Amino acid sequence: MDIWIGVGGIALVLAIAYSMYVKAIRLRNQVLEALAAIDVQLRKRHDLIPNLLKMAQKYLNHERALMENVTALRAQVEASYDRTDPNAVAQHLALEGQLSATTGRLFNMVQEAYPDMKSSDIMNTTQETFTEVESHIAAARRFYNAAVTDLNNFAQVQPMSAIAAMAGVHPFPYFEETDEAVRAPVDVDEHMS
Amino acid sequence: MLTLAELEAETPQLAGLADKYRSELVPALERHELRRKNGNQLATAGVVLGGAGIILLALDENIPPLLNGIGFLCFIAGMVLGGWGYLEIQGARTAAKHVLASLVSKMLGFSYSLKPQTTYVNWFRELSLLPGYDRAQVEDEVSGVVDEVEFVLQEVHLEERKERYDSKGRSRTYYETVFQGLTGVIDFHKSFSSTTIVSADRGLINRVVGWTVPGERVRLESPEFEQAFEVYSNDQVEARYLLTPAFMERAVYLHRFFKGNLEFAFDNGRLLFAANHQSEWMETRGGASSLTDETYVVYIVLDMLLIYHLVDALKLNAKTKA
Repeated sequence: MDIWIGVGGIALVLAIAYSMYVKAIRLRNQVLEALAAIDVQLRKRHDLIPNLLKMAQKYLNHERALMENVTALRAQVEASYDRTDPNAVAQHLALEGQLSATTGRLFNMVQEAYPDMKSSDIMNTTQETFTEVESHIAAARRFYNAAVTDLNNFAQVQPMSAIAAMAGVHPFPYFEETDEAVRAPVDVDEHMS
Repeated sequence: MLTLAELEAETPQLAGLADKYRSELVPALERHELRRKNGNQLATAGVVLGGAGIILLALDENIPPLLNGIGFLCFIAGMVLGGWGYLEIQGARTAAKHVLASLVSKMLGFSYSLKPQTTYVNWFRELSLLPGYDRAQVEDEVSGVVDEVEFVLQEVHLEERKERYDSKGRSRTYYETVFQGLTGVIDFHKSFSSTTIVSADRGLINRVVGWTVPGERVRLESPEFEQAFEVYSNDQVEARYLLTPAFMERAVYLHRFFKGNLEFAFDNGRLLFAANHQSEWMETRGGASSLTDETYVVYIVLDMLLIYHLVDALKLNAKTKA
């Protein structure tokens, strides 16, 4: 009888441990899915960059360093990285934040330097697409941060953290802006009015 | 309660409504008021006659059989008169509502239909915004455009068939209301391809029936919003694109406005909403007062202006995508 109680107890512990393992994997996969969703949205913004650079080259030749910076950052952000490595993810998100800020600054400079461009069709289309893409990126970031919260809540509390560590699941960094200029969204309307 | 003059001052499209009320509406409504009064008299006579019949029937063996027979006839006649009176009152109210709603909707540039040709009940059902039903009635459709936002509002009444058994085991079928309220299909200013459903938070019930709602659960950041609603979507990113922090605040405000009976969804480029327990929408409230009463017009105008309130509250006319 005692043996069966012991066997039952061990089976229960193993079942709980396994369910924790499954949950850790599921939460990590959710973070990876959210990360992929961010990358999909960022890809849309990257596709806008050549247009922006063309406009900038035409009117802001003296800001060559800034344009080169955008091009270099874009190349770095597009380079592949290990999505399962929280450090690599943090670095990728930081680079993306820098690209976002630099692109926004360039966009503003083009508008401020040449107010007549504000009414042009190409600028209107770029502005609308930019705003749309920014909204999608913001949504993807919120999805990512929600997934990270779920994972971190799980992976930072014992005994789940031990199981998560055994499964190779680690807390992930949040997507957050540290630079004030980066934190502020690109207020295209303000510049176009 | 606002007056027609105050409503006119607040809504430019309604300029001249008070004059039209006196010159056009009152004469038209007087006819329906007369019908309502006749109906009231018939119903009262029916109640008196029916009551007398019940008393005679209750006396049973204490009175001669002839009086019993008269009692039975009185009861039947009372029922018929009462029913006839009730139908007359309802008919007069509906006709008055039609007159009022047609004029007000015309002034606001909307269309009004008492019995709409198209209903969206199945679409709402697919999105779990309406409960299952056996009998549906759709009426009072108001459609049009506000600030370039197209909309259709309809009043929906859904009933479910139930059976009751008496002490002898005989079954009796009856219908129970499962939804009586307002539904709306409104253009949404953002383009999207997914389906996102925002249902009311019913606590544990959501956990039990949550699987019947299409899509995955979406957890959002606003504690107030999460307390009021449960969100399901087949696209986690697009759900957040639609439900921005600003939009969530507006939704919480509307949740309170509809006393916690609001559910909505984003599907096929439209925002659909269902607000239960809004049985008085477009109804001539307070049956005892006259149909020519100015209050009736004010209520109808306020009901029609609800769409302005919705568009404004949700900023559906916004040019920015926040």
